[in-house]
Amino acid sequence: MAKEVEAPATLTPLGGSRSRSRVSKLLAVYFAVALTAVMTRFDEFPWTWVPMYSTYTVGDHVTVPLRDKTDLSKGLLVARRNEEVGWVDAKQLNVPSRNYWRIHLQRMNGKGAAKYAQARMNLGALNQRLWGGSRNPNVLEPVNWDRRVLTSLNRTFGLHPTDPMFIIGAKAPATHAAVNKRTMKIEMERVVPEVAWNEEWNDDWSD
Amino acid sequence: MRGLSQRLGGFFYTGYSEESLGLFRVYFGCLVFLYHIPQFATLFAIDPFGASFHYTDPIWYFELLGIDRTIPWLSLLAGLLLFASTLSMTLGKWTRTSIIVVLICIFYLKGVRDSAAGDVHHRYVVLVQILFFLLLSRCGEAATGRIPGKSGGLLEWEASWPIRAAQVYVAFFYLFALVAKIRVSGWDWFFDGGGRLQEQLIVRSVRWGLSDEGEPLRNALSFHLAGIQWLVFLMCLFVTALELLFPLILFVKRNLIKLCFVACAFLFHVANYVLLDVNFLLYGLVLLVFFDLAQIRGWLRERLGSRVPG
Repeated sequence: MAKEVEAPATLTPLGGSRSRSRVSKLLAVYFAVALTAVMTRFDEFPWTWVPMYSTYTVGDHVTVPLRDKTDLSKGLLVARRNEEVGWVDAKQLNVPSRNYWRIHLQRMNGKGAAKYAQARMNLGALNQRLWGGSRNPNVLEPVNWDRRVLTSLNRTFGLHPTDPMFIIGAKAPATHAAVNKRTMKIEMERVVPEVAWNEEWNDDWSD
Repeated sequence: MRGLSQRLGGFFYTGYSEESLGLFRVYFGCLVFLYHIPQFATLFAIDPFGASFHYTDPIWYFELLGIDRTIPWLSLLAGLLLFASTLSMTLGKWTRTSIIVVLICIFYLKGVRDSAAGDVHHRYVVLVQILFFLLLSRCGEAATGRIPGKSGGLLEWEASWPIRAAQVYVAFFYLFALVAKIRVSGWDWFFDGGGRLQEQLIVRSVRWGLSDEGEPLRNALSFHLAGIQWLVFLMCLFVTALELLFPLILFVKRNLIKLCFVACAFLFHVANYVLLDVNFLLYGLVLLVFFDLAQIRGWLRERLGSRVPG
């Protein structure tokens, strides 16, 4: 019994010693941080407020970009500064297919990761004040994806804006299915989202 | 206040033995080892000496460190290191160092995976918290079996707190998920027709394309379920009840009732995997944290005798 009362020190990763009361303090701080992340809608790994699949907008239809193998294996149709046109695929970019489909079907369509809408949708007054200008609840998609995607393509291939091979535009042919949630009827539509390089962005290009 | 403090102390510092913690380390290590495979397999499939993809949206710590592109061979190396260190952690060899290496590798590989397109996957959040508790505990010294005549090296409170802390985090993860849905979308998430669940069933089935007859090529069951609104509504009620009530497991003493909670949560993860393609199936095995593994081993030994390893 005496052993239970007089707890000896326990080793810390740094080789010091930690008594039971120190563990209590550590747990208090840890759970306070975890709870703060929840209250403030903080979602940066490894902290989270668990917002997965939390966004929903009332509507009769849902649009689904199809993960069509032919479209995705062909890749993006790119236009270069020297007026050459050609395909760039996931293999050339050396990016896993699980990442590539999001670039092709979502980012090329101006749609970012769910984290942006989750952080902003129906943001409470307290959190609006806390996050200030960095989170505008009226702008759920605050990222310029045209610029991000084209920068990514060009930098992957080591191209500079002055390079004749520099990619100035890209198209991502895809098929969208519009599903009526009440009747479950599906209508297919062929779409070709397009992004274009804005020459004003050249000034910010750093080597 | 003193009463609350005593109750919390009673919860966090009692209930588990050195053997329980040792077995939990071994069990959790095996689980994490398997868990890494579906999470990072695609990173090992790319050409190790191919192009370095420039990220579209780097994760926060990559941005902070100036890491803006993939180094394909480094992912492979980090993967090998991850599996080796997970194994040594499981075996209790250089446990703290191993857990630190495991954490670094998870952060790196997760960063590589998420930064390419900017998605934030939450599949490692809970596991990393548990690894953090194990890192600060004496789990590496915890023996997985009792040596007759030798008293244990760890006290009850030292063995209990990492397991209890993990239980609290796992239990509240479900409740916080429910709170988030209500904060972001309100009750529409559940009650607008089939709500988000119906939408998700449609998206995850239709996205693989349709046959000439207009049937989804994969997950056709999800599509048909999405059309039965009363059933989707019942599933929404199940999700709500599970996420709302799951923290009650922390107050349950009887293993049979705990098993009911865990079975419901496991069913939820299996359904997510089968119907919604959510790659979170193995996560369900984390729920064994709510049971005393030493007790389970004792129970198995009673029934199976010497076939259960000591």
